[in-house]
Amino acid sequence: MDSRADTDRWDRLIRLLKPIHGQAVATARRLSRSVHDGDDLYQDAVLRAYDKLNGLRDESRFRSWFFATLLSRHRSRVRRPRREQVSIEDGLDRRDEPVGEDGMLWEEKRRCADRASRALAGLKAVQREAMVLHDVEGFSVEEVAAMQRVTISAVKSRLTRGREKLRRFYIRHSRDNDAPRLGILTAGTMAWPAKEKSHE
Amino acid sequence: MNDESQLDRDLEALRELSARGVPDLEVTIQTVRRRGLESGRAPWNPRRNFMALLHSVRTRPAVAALVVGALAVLVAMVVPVSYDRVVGQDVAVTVAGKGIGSQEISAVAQGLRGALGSKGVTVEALPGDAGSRFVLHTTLPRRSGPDVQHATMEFARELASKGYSASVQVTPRRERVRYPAVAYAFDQIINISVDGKSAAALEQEIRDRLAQAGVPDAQVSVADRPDGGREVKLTVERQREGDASTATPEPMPQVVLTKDGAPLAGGEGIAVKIQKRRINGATSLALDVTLNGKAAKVEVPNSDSMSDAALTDAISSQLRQQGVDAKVTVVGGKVSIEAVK
Repeated sequence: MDSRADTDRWDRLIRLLKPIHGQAVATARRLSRSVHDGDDLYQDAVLRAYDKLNGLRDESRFRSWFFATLLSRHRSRVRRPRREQVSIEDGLDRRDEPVGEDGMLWEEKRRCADRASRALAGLKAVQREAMVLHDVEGFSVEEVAAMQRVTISAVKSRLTRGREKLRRFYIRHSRDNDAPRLGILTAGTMAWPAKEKSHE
Repeated sequence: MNDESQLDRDLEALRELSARGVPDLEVTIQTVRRRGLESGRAPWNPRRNFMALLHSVRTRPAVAALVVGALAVLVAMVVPVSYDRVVGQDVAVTVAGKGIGSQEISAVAQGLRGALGSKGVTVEALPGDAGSRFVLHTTLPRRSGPDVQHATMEFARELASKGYSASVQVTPRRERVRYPAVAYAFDQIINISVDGKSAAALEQEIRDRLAQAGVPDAQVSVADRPDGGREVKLTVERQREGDASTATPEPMPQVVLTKDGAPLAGGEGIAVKIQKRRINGATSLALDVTLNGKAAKVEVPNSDSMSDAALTDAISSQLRQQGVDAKVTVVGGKVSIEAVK
């Protein structure tokens, strides 16, 4: 049974998480290779945030603080050996997906998202984080620097290198196959790396 | 479609897809609380926790290096080694003079005690034809010999002004100690400041400090160069009889000269270690030469049967092959190596 202090702490965390919950879940999924992994990463970060919440004095900085916790958990998971590989759309409820002509468009979107996910998976964890937070989530370089706890120039360097690697990934894949097929690539070289794996 | 727009399109698709079906915050919190309770109830498993710790260290090279370094320091701080250490200075002042009796020597002993700050002074009377002679003995728990020597000499000069003749002998007192390796390492590094010291004063201090560290026979010479530099030469000779394969080299303290608190750097320097090894009746010569940071090893088999000139050629050519340009001189089988100026 939770004590009164625990309940208060959970209530405080819920109140602080509410405005950023959707974005943080989506970020966790984008950093991960699948929805399952992303949701698991998010839960892990919430649990860690709960443990450390008493150390947070300035609540106006909660968003940056929570994302820093999320990134810390992400890196910790990247170091762990992985046993299975799944696709980004695994875990999504497909019952409400469009069918017919819209369905074909949707299928194409899923292929694109999976390709982006696999491309990001080939980056170093810190580069992937910088790319997702800045290029996908729209955080400023200064905000990313605060979340990654590095200098602004370090973030810029990570973004430049990350983009260059992604560019090479797309050049190589457009050369190999103008329209890469999910089945071929999932079974091919771009499986989720057990350790950090670069496109180089 | 170019690669940039393909990437943008793919990232947009990822943005859209990953934002779908986000679970409700309340549901997420319930799941997290359940997870927290489950992990809180997990029994303590030493093997699993040890493996997790091992994995954590293995995947972080910087942490692994830090842990190894910390362990090395811990071992150095805990594991004791035996070595001779200077623990104090034995002072003997021999006093002689006409009419010096027990009352006078008692006053001199009090004066010595006060001058050196020692706890006690013992007096030994020496019979002699030329009058009474007394030796005053005391021990000071100071490791710095020159300071004690200086203070004692001052006292001897005072005695001379009173009409007594006095001679001074200061010898370091050594004890076999057993301290952690880190303390031994500190004892083996001799830091000497060159600030404001003449060549003669520096030479004397190097000699004294080496003597304190257990090397009383070091040949030291410090000379000012005409071009403004200063040349320091340090030679220590050791002979050891025994099995060459198992003999361990005698530890030698390292002299570090400092200026304004920082070690002197950028100068020329040569360090030479010469070993003669006799195995199965045949003598071979082994040299370790370090010149301006460049190290070379020289091996000359059957060196006893070679002439001085042949030995000089053999050593010089091996040094040249290893990129060390030094002047080699062999006189009567004795090798000396100097840096080429």
